[in-house]
Amino acid sequence: MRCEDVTGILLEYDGGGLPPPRRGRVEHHLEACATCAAYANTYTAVQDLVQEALAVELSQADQADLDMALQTAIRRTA
Amino acid sequence: MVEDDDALVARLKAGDDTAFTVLVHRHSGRVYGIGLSMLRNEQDARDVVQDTFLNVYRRIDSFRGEAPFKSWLGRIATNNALMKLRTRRRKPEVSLQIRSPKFNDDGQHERDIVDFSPLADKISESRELGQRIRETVERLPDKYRTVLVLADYQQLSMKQIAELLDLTVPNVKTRLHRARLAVRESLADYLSGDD
Repeated sequence: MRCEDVTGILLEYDGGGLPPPRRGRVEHHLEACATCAAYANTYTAVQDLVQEALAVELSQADQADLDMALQTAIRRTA
Repeated sequence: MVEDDDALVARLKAGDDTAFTVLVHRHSGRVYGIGLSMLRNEQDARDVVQDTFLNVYRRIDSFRGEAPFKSWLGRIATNNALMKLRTRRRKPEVSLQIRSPKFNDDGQHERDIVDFSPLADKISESRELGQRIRETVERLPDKYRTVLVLADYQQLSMKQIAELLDLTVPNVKTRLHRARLAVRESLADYLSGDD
């Protein structure tokens, strides 16, 4: 299995969707190839990095505006 | 004691609006995050938050509790964001070129790979890195960004995403894989100083 082949199936590998013989071949390659091991680690890390980076909070002012807008809309439809 | 979502939903169904306020305050950040990451516009994202919680208030009796409240809420928010994405006047996109790693004729990586995965534990300490990731995701073309946000931010399954976007599961997987590769390449450039 070549580096290019491994990279092409990292999504399935990460998600546990590879059947055992193929999964074994990927694991074997990752044990032998430091470059691909580093690549696979960073590919997996992207998921956590995106999860963390996209987590945002509403500002207090926006939260207050939202509360008021919701109260008004709810009263209007009550 | 902190009241869990199930208890708050039960109170809301019984007509106690204070439970609604608690649910709004608890989950508004996440809903805003969904709107912002999908629509790339703060005002649109605020609209998604408002529409979503109004939907929750009006439809709470239809929530049967078979899935966690958070999942139900996320689905409503996603649908609202998708609706806005399909109908709004499009903001001009300066899309990130979707890049994949380069390989030589033997199928080996052409460039050295630096393992930046330990940064995943430190992202909360690095405002600059967080900003870079947000910008990278924002610049992905819509079709890739949407799938990435649904999978990696909202943690929806491939099947759920396929249903929401009316795509096949293999199509979702292809888009997600390309989006992750593009984000990975962009971060690698940034961390190696190539960008």
